Amino acid sequence: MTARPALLSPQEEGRQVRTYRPVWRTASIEIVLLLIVVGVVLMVSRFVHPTLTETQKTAVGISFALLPLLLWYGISYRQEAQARRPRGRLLIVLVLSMLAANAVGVPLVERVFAVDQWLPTTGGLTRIIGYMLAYGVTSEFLKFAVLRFSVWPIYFKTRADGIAYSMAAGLGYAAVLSINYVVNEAPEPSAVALRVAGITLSQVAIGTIVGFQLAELTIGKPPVLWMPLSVALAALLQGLYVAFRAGLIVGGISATATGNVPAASLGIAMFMVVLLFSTISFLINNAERRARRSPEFSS
Amino acid sequence: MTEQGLTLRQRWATWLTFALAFAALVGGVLLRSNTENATFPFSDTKTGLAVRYPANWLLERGTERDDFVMRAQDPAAIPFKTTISLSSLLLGQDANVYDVTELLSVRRAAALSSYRTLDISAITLPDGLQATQMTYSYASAEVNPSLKSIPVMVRAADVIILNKGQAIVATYLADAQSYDQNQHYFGEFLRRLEIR
Repeated sequence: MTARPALLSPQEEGRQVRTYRPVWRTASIEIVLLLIVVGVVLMVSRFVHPTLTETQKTAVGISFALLPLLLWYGISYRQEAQARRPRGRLLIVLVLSMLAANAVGVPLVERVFAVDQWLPTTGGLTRIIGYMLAYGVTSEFLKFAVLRFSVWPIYFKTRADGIAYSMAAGLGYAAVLSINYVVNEAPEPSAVALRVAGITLSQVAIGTIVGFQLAELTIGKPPVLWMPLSVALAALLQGLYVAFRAGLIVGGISATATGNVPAASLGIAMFMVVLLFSTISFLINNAERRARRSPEFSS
Repeated sequence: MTEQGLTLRQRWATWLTFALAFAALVGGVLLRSNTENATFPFSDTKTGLAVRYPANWLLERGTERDDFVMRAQDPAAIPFKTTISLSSLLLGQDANVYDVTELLSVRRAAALSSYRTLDISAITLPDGLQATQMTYSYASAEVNPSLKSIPVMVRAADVIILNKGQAIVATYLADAQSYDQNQHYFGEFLRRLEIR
């Protein structure tokens, strides 16, 4: 019997701990998971045709409306806790934006502006401007106000912080809009899936414009007007999204079909996510590259 | 950094954002008001009537067979399309306004289900013209029986103006639930009515 040589095994590499949670990666994972669930719901609705009572529809709808929050909590929030420098007050931002949406946003848009009573019958340009002023400015300003008075500027250390907090605010705001839609309309699960995904993606993606600008205002030296202009741009995109969503749900009418294409509204929201995520990511990288080259950084 | 530690740039940026949001919300209210109160002109050379009706309503011009000169309906109103119409009746030599209200009541009682006259009173129009207002109600059943909808209670008002041997009748019809809410359209319609 020969003695086995003692082998030196390399030390097991510990799990990599990041300084900050990578916001783009976790957000992308959540979006992909949300879209997979939407796909499953659409397939089930199309091929199984489940018959649900009104109560079951509401229960399914509210569960679906809360799904983006659960995904965020399970992925982003947990990874945040594992980071070396976790961002604080994310949950507070989320809850405050939900409260702002429920107490101010929804009543203002639905009762004071009553957009459903007068905007759908107006011309295209009036509709876009109307949704921008009533719906877009309300939602973007409220999310801005939540960030402004809860975490800005103390918690904004990097530009990605602005994205992380604005996404939390967008998710909270979107959850209230989704629940409101489910409770008031009591729609079929497939319609809920499409609308919740559309609302969530648009709120999260468009909100990053304001988040980025708040971070830039803390770290960089942007012109004073950029902050209000960012809110205006975000509001315009919200107005465009709502106006085009309504236009695309009822598509072209032909001899063979009545042209109902609700999935197209989700397509616009996905397009906005890709466009805004890549643009803001490019702007952040560019700003950080310039900051590294600046004399202040090298000294 | 505390609230007091904000730079001048940060303070101005946030205050300007508040100002922009406030201005945009005021703009939204004005846009709503302008859109809802926007009107299109209508005139009829035969009867000498000119008026403005809500811009997003559907206009129907009366023909020889119709009993109205013009009729505008709100296409978005559900379940009953809020309607404003204008008609002209030729009067006999000694006819007075009560003959007109009587005639209208008799015609409508025969044509409309559960018709009931509610009130007849003298009013003064915004331009100082004297007129008579008759309010009434009836049940409007859906024309298509296959839809099987419940009849809608309609509340209505006729404003009758006697002018040069003719009676001009402006009529406002609305679902009883939304009668008061939409009455400003009728008020604006009467304010813009011109009899040439």
